[in-house]
Amino acid sequence: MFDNLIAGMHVGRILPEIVLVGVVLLAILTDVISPRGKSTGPVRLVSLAGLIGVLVATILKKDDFGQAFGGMVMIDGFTFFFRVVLTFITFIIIYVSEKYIGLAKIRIAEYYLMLLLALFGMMLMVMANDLLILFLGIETMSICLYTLVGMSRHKASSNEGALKYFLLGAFTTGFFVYGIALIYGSTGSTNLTDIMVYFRTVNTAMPVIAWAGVGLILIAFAFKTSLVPFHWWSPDAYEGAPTTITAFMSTAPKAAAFAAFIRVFYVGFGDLSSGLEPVLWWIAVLTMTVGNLIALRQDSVKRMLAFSSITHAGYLVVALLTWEQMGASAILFYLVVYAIMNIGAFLVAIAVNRDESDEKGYSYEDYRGLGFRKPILAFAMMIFMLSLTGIPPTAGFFGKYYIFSAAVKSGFVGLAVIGVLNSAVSVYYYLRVIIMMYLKERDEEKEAPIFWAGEMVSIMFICVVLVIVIGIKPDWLLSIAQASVSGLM
Amino acid sequence: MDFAVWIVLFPLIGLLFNTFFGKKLPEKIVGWLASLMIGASFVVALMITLKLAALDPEHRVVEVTIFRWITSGNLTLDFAFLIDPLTSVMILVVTGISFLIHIYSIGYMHGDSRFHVFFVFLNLFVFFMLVLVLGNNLPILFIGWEGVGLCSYLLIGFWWEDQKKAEAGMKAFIVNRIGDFGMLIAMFLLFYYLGTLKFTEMFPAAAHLWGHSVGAPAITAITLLLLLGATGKSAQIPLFVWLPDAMAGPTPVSALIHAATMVTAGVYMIARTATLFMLAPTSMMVVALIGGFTALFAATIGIKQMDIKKVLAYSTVSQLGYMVMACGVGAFSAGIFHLMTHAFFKALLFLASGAVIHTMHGALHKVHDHDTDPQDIRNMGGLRKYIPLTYWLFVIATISISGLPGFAGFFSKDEILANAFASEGVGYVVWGLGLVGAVITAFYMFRLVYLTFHGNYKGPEGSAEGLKESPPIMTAPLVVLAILAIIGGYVGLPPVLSKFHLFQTWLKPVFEPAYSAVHYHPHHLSHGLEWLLIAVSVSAAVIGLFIAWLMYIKKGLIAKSDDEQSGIQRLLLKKYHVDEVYNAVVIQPLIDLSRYAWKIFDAGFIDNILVNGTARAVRVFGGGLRRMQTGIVGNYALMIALGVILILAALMGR
Repeated sequence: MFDNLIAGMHVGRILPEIVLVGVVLLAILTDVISPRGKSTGPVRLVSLAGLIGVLVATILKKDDFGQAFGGMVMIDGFTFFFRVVLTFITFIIIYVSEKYIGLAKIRIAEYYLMLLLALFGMMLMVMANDLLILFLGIETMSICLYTLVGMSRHKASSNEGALKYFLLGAFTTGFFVYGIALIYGSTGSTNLTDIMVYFRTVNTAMPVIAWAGVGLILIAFAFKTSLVPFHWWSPDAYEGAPTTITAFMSTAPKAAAFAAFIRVFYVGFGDLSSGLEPVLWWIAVLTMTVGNLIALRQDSVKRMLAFSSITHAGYLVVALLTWEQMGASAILFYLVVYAIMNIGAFLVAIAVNRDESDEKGYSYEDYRGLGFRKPILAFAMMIFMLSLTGIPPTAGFFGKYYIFSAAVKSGFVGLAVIGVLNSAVSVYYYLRVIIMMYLKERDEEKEAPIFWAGEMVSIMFICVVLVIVIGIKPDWLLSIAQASVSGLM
Repeated sequence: MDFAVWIVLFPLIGLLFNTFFGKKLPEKIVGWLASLMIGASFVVALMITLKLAALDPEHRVVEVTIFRWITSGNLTLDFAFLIDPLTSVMILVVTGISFLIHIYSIGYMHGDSRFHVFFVFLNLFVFFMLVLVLGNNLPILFIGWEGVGLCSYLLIGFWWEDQKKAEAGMKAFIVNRIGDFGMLIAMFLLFYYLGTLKFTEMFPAAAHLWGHSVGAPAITAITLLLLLGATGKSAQIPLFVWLPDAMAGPTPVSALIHAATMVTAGVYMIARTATLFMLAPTSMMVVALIGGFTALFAATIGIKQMDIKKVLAYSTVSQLGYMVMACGVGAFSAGIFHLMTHAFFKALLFLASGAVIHTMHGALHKVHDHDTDPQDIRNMGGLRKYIPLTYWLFVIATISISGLPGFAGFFSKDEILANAFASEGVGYVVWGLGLVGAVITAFYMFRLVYLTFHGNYKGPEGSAEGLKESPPIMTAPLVVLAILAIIGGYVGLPPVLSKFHLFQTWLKPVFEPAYSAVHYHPHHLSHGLEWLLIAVSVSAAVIGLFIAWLMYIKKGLIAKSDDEQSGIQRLLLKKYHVDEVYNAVVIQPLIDLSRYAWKIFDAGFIDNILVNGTARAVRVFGGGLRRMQTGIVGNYALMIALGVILILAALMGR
């Protein structure tokens, strides 16, 4: 009887997560036994090796799909896709960080530990088939992120960002829990499959209370993916955080949150699409536009990237709205492409920034004449900026192309028009970087040395290559994305 | 025809080589290598054309697949070239003119510290331009379209120094993005309705879908959006404002990109999608009117410009208007014909004006005068005595653009006007616009010649001795272009002179499907009427020439300074205040809106309005160095709560 219970839980299906927890424990142990103040190097190596182990475990289990733990989690192609993507991003961030955390004066092992634990939370999120598991995942991830944002304790902006993020995050957690309660109250379950069955049967006469629950969960997701009007925390948090963490936050947690967003809304609330449409329509329009308009006025490249990441989330909502496989796969494609170009751009920003302890760093001015000073670095930045703008032949172009063609295909022509218009506006601030680099004279007196680290350069190089390769030949990635969402609907 | 891929590989090789080794190599090697690569492309273009000519007219459509590009669901696209007579004309013009301008640039850019970068950009431009005209589907065309835009932008900015110019030049990119936005939406819609973006599949599908409901809203919207793209790239009303500013770039760039090739991409795109446009008569009418009005409007601005390159810039806008107008009246082949002859004479005009500027620059440099503008025609005059070769070349091009009989421009412009006259609907209107435009064209072009080359030299004292002819490496390409500007029109003789219109016959298989989709038959004029129209357009040119002669030679008027202008002259001088209007109506509101959004959505406004003074400062943690405004968090929470209420109300109130 007990054996049957264990077998029914399919523990083996969450092998990657088990490995990850083992890695975390091992990393903590390494921290403890390493000499004081010199533990980050060994911890980093343990983490990197561990993440490779997580990847291996993921790939080993790539044919063992199905539910586990009595339907609490769902292991499918979708989960597999995000496990790989999230592990990769975390690996890259840990890989490039060692020299930077010295510069930012946060050389403590907890930096790596928190990243690993955040990854664990995100893994839970992407496989959660039950709102309670999802809640656990989101909280695990968020608490790690609050800590990571505030890690530069000597910087006021870091403290400010972390505190705001934490207070507002806690605020929205309340909405999420309340939403789960209302859903449970009306459907009698927190399991997505059960919820779907319930909504399908009572579709026409749904109690108001269930709508409130759906709305509250939508709001929680809107907060985590920083959609307008729930975006308030993100610019401050992004600016205050150490820049490697900003790169991390704008890619991995965002990807995980969108993954959970897709699963909950496509599977659990799939039959409510027409009711949710007007609200999501407005959220998409506002998110695309507001992020853009504010990004126009920034003088710091880091803040510009933070605001523009809001806009990019808006594009993703456009694809989400289609409620179709094409839209979902466009989101997956875009998340990967966005991660590549954004991490690349942030790495260049780290290299160029003059003084990490300066509260008002990352100025556009630092890029003056970079094209002649450091041609290769400037070239890389130009590729990232063009891709973020969505100019072919870069990966970013196809990211937008798939999203907007999915939107048009589903009849959201107006939304596609607004989206394309917004991406036309975004030319202004992305191009400003290119202008600074290539069309402004160098001012040698004001130039600060470039911050070089071998591991950063290698990742930057890989990002450039990927942006161009995907820009020339995008379909392989799209077919992976399509295969990953095919089991979902 | 697999060798066709070499046409884009040669420029690619050139630019890669110069990117990696150009910095260390002498100018001569860099410049000649880049030029020879384009020369090789030209040879390939010739071979392609000959191969094509060897086929039967109805089989002159060859597709060359380079690789399978995108496969996703129901969209399959190859990275492939479409080679047909229209393509062959475009690649010949692009590679031929580019080759000459590359050689010219070796002389013009001599001594520039970023010589190799210039040639890298120039090669890259040719690469993208060829991709644009060769692509067998809209996405490839669009990649070329964006690529040439980027190169144009980089090359305009090649010499920028100050912030003001940089911002002015950004206009080029932003204005073009407005056009591109139209292109993208049109592309999405086409895919939505037709399920394909490949030209050879798209046109029959469109003819099938809309052939029985010509002028359906969908196809009209699509073609109008395409037209928006074309007005951006080809500098038509309302998006022409960027082109005159683009003249800040080096002159060879103006000649190549902003006169002969890139700006004609819009015309090419309309001609390429002729079937779609024919299915939407309303759009055709709009195309014709936009072309006609641009032709006239830009010509009138040209009258008052003082900068030699600005005159040519507005003249380019105006001539592009003629091409667009030709497409609008269904005379696509006439539009492409004018595209070709225009490439000859306008490249010649720009390069010759570059030689003039080069000469002026040298002369001013000699007397250490750095304040006098070497491009202002008020500082010139009488130059024909000093640089006779440049003078004669300039005159040839001027005669050609003015449409005086026997020169290239005459044949193509006359064909456009005749077709406009013969067409239905707005035909007479656009013919009238084009005719008045022709008078003005002849006027401002000869005004330019008279003020620059005739009369007395008005430059600073002592600088006249420094006026020298440009080196042969610059003048030799000009001579070739001058020959083309004279004889280039004889491939398309009007019906009254010859039964055999070589150019039209060559392009016929391309546009035939467009006509047959709507059962359209071009009208033919009687010989008598044809002669009459020729007489009218020739007299138009002569009248313009005569007025210019009367004013600037006979009466010896010299250009007035800006302050002395009044009334309509001032309006023309200020280009109808279009820049100011755009600034007030489009740009300033956008800036205001973003400032407003910034205020509302960023902390400051909320902080000041809602909770000024509450919970101001709290010291945080041990390392907290500065005061932290926790009050704002409360406001954020308030805004979030408002959002929550709105969303819940929307969902629960259903």
